[in-house]
Amino acid sequence: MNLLEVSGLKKNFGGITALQGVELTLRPREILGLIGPNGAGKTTLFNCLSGQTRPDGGTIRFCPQSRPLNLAGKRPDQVAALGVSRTFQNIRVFGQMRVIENLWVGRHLVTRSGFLGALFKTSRFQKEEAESLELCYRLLEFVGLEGKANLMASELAYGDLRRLEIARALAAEPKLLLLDEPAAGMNLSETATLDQLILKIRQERGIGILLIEHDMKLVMGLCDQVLVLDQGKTLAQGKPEEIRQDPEVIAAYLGLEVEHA
Amino acid sequence: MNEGVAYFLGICFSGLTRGSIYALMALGYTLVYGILSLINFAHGEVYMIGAFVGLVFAGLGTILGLGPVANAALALGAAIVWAGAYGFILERVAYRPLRRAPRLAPLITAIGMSLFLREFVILAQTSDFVAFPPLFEALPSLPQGWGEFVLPSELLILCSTLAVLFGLYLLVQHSKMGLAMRSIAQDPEMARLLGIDVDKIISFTFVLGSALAAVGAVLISAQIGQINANIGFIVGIKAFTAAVLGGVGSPGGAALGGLVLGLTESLAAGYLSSDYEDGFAFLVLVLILLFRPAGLVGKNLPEKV
Repeated sequence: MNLLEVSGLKKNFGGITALQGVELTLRPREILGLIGPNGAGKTTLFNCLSGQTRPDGGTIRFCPQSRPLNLAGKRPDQVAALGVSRTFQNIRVFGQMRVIENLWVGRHLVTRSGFLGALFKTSRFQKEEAESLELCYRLLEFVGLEGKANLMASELAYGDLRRLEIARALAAEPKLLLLDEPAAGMNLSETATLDQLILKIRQERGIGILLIEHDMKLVMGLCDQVLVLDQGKTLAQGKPEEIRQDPEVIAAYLGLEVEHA
Repeated sequence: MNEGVAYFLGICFSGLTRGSIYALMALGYTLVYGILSLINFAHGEVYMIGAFVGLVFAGLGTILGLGPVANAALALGAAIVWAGAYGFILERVAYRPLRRAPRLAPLITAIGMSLFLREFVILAQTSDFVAFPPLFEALPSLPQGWGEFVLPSELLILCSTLAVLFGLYLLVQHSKMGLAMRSIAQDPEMARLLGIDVDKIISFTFVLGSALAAVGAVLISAQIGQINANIGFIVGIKAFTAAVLGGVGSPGGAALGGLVLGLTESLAAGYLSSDYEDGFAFLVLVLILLFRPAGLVGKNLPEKV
């Protein structure tokens, strides 16, 4: 069964049509690249998936276990609780918190003991806290931020901030990860490391990844599937090599990019 | 002990006692401001209501023949629960419906709630001063020499406040709830995306701030010995001054600002003239706004966009 199935998704902002019937399918453990010219609706689609924007029509079927759920119209905290995490193009980590605290907030959904547990240091709380902390440190290592746990997040370099944001998204143990232009503003070697990281996430965590990306090399090299969005509609979805040869796609978008690349 | 030194110490202790209450109150302003960028002008009235509830229950305890410690605990507990409920309802009624409204709208409802609550207490109770039962009578007297400059009740208030501040520090810095509060202060939308129920945390913050106000109200009312429906107004403004003095939005700053303001007032009253006590408090506010608008511990942050 598919992990994510979007069909007929629509969204208008005032008189402007942002999405007019998006179709998308994502299988478990798959990396799906979302491409399309500016204004094609990529960000709006992400916002609908994360619950930040309420779609006007269509369905978002998310199936982390055996029973599919409709995400359309759910609040962001509810969507998060069902197992969807996201990052942003303009990184949104908590700058006034330590690196490890950022991950700790990310684990909000997973840790259960509340204030009373913390106050009385119940054994369940202590056990849970120790495990959770251990997990956070392992996550830092996983993304390559070991040794930076106690820095303020605002002190991190740009590339590290991106990795921290991804680590925080993973801290919630999501089933679906939405990455909004993870390579934006990164140099070549940083992009290569990121490439490795995304593959490692899929390999070790077995989750579905949906990413918006402008870097064509990254998209074509990394993704199992590519979806082209144009004027709020799905133009095509398929394997990277199919997409590269699709005449419609070339006409609308790729042709220009490939020539310049 | 030298008489001058004893006088000075006495003034310091009475200033710190007063400052403790400002600190507890200022925390209520600053926690709410940190999360919602809203000045809860009805906070002073929650304090006043806390004092009245404390009075009623302390009186009840006396009638029931409770011992002094049990009576104080009853008054304090009832005031905390009652004021907490007021804080919760206040946010639901006056602020939550206006979450997306222009900034001025909740400010006006805050002032409206403040007036409403004060008039409500005047109608339901009285506008006169009423005596607050003495809760501190049973305190043991201090060792020889201390009595020259500090009262047992002052020490109790100061120590209780420090304990509460320490507890609050642990809550904000080292608990899941505190982390959620801080994440909302920095980026509410992101907090929501991480699964945090923002409305729940906001309610909790109001209850917490109101509980702190109630603690301050019962302690200082028992010390002063009388209350009326207007006590919330002036304490509210002073505590707001303390919050600004420390750097609004910063809990540590609010605590520091409260103590500094209390000391300033007390020193000015003790060495210059007690007629100008309030004047000095607001002089401090004006000076801070002129020369260090971000407060004592605040950084001058760039405008939020």
